[in-house]
Amino acid sequence: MASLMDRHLDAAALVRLLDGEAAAAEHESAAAHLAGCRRCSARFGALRRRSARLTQVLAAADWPCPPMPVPHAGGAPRVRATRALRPGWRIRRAPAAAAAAILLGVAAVVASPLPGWIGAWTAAGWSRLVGATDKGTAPEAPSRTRVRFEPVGVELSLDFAAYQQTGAITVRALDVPYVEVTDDDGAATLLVLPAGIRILNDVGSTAEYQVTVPARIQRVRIRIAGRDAVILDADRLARGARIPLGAAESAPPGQGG
Amino acid sequence: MARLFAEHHASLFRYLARLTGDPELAADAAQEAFVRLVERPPRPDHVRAWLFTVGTNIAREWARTRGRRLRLLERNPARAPIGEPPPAPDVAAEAEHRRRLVQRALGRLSVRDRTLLLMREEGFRHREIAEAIGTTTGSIGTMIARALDKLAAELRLDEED
Repeated sequence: MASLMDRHLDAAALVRLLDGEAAAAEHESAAAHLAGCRRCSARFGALRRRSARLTQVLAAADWPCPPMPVPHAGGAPRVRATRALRPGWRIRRAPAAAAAAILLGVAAVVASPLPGWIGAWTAAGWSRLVGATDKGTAPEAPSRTRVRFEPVGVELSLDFAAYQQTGAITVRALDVPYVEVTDDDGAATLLVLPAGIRILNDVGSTAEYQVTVPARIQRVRIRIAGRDAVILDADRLARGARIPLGAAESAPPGQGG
Repeated sequence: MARLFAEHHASLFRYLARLTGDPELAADAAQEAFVRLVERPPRPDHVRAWLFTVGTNIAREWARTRGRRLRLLERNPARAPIGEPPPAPDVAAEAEHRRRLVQRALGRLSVRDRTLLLMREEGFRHREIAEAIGTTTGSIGTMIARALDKLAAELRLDEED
């Protein structure tokens, strides 16, 4: 009967050996076998080359990693968010990420040495959200989503996932320290980023968005479906600008208003 | 959180982008996974595997939703985003070509095979891969070997040695 030493290694054993997953005894026996078996040694070499080649091929086809904000770490936005509900109305859809953003805000506030009133304000907003959700009555009325946060820097990005059926975004600079974004039908998911917000809207949406930015913001870049749609400078922001989001009426890149 | 983000975000994005073939979805899913990490932090020694498992689930769920949206676009072309991105330069076109080839090959694997090979690429232990796909650690070596055979044939990895 052939000993373990004489038995050829199967493919799984070669993988375990290559990945450093073989237990000590298996490793010792496999290594001894490889040293004396040209066939298994060649198969092991081929597996190693194939794995290395796969790593190269995958890396060559990778997309660049986009810059992303660090959730609630130092330098990230201090989020103050609430979902403004009209009395007696029910949330038809509760966007998970918007709720997560709210929780993120709560966590950020709780974890940071911000003034107590901010924490109280946020906690109260969350309580209102939960309470209103529980006691809703009218079935079809829409609810607004409102997110408020303090932006980092003097530029702001408003990034829509898609062109909509109709609707628009209105942006205006005011003498306030925060950015406030209101989605009038509450269907989109709002992800707060350090220097902007990502709005995961739907292609069939007709929502209107109201955005207030601090007067210190010098530039607002609006992107729709991954493309620059409009860049608003400080003058335009002071006057206020309404940008259509419908595919048929949106202005070409660099214009709009 | 900043340290966890710095350590794991790029790897998670890369894995999800390879898994789904959709970098925008991967970026959103990776971000969402970190948001959920804030909400429901796992045991400190399980953070990385937890992030990848949650990110995978989010990406798969959103991919299904996006599939519905794409079908809507096909039925209502007038609603589709207007215009296309500007023509890519040669380098970008070649990169895009490579991506298509790799994504086509990955797309021919089962979700399970794709997941385990891509998790292996990110350096996960066989135990962690087994937990993620719901199997035993002992079976992972065989599964990797078979999946690697399939992908090597699709990508002609051995021919290019």
